[in-house]
Amino acid sequence: MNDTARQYDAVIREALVTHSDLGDTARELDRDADLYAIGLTSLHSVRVLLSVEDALGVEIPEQHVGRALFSSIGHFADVLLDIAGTTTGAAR
Amino acid sequence: MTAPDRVLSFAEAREAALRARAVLVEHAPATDRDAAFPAEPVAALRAERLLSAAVPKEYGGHGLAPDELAALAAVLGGGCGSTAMVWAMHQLQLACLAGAAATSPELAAYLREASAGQFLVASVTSEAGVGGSLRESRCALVPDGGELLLEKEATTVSYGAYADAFLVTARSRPDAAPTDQVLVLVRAGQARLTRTGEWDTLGMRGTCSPAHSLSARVPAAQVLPAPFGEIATRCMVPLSHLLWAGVWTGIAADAVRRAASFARARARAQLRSGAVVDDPRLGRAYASLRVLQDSVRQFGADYTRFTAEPDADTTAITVRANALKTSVSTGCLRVVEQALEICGMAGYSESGPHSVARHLRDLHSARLMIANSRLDQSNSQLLLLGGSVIDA
Ligand SMILES: Cc1cc2nc3c(=O)[nH]c(=O)nc-3n(C[C@H](O)[C@H](O)[C@H](O)COP(=O)(O)OP(=O)(O)OC[C@H]3O[C@@H](n4cnc5c(N)ncnc54)[C@H](O)[C@@H]3O)c2cc1C
Repeated sequence: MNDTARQYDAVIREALVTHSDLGDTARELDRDADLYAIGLTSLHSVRVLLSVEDALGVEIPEQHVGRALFSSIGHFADVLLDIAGTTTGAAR
Repeated sequence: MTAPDRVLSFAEAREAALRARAVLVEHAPATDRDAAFPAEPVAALRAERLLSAAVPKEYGGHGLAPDELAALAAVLGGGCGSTAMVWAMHQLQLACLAGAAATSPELAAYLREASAGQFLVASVTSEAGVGGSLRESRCALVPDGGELLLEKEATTVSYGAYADAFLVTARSRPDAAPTDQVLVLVRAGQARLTRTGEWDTLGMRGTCSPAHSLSARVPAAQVLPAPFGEIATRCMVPLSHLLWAGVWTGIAADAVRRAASFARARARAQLRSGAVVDDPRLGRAYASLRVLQDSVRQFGADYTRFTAEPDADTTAITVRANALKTSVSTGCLRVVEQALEICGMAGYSESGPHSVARHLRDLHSARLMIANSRLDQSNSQLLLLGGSVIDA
């Protein structure tokens, strides 16, 4: 993991702590753990998304937003890396 | 003659419409501001071969069904209401011609030519002195040495100055009753079209629809064989209402998309400050939109089935088409009003990513484009025939 990947990982975990019922466990979760299987609801996932966008100053394009985005912390971070790689202008 | 076009499936046509929509989006503000004909957007539709969507495959078109055309109209409506309406009105003319092509070699040949050349066909049903009554004409076809002469004072002709041909309603003969009408194809080269009015309107400004006087001489074979009454009931009325409704729901959907984008930015800020995100308005706007979209899809599917059944009950389809038109025309406007409230001043602004001002202005035309009160009046009479339509 490079610095950017580590930053995304941390931002997602913080958002999960604050905006979902997973609480502090989100800090120790496996990168590949299925978030829905351990109780993430779709309403909470929206808040997590918005707070990640807010923290990173990016807007995740519509085509990437969906239930699959939250399948795991690792997947979410990979999508963010992808977006940062293709649209450097995304940062405000 | 050019090689026949490759036929687009609905999925391919939808992809093509999505590509063209980018051009519509880019030109929508200037089209609206300047009340200018959307030349580049229409060129993009032409380049995608989408002008022949409604022409049956045997005449070189893509043979798309009414429900598919309505879905494309909605896609385009999300980019620019005026351009989408031009496309929808044009497809309607093609569909009327297609209904006649089986019994008229002349019109079949014209459809092949129109597909190959991606011609644009306009409608001249409106006429001074008859208001919005589709089923009445004052002008008449006058026989003259084997050909027919026609003079018509039309109150509203969309994209008339840019059309390759017109479908015109007229009384069948000089001594025919006002409702004894036919529909006649007039090529631009056979007509003298003079603009007699201005087009500086609240919305749908890019349709460029001022009053015109039309004077033409055409071969008798360019008259559609069926009486206009039959064409109106089986094709023009239900299909126009379906395609227009498609355009209107597309406009409303774009306004809801804008409201969702605004609400998302707002929710982000609220979360940051620790506030609760509990605004129900986006959900309500979507619910209103969804019902309208589903009504259009359902009517589209039913009308598509209807066109395959020559003996089907035309009264039921007329009543339903009228009801769809009046409810979707006003419903879509209400949806955009909801989007306006969500976006606030950003929605009221004429520019910016959350503006819904053009959407609102464009949709105000919906109730007038064949006045809703006329359609409600017709339905109120037709419904006296019995209750089977009400239950269906
Ligand atoms: C964006 C746009 C594009 C258009 N493009 C075209 C086009 O390309 N070609 C074309 O031919 N036309 C076109 N039209 C015109 C359309 O076909 C109608 O002719 C027009 O909308 C009716 O105009 P109106 O309101 O002046 O007439 P009317 O329908 O006569 O309405 C005038 C008033 O009379 C009332 N009224 C209701 N019922 C009746 C009745 N039974 N008898 C008398 N009055 C009644 C109406 O409610 C209204 O208050 C277009 C219209 C719009 C808005």
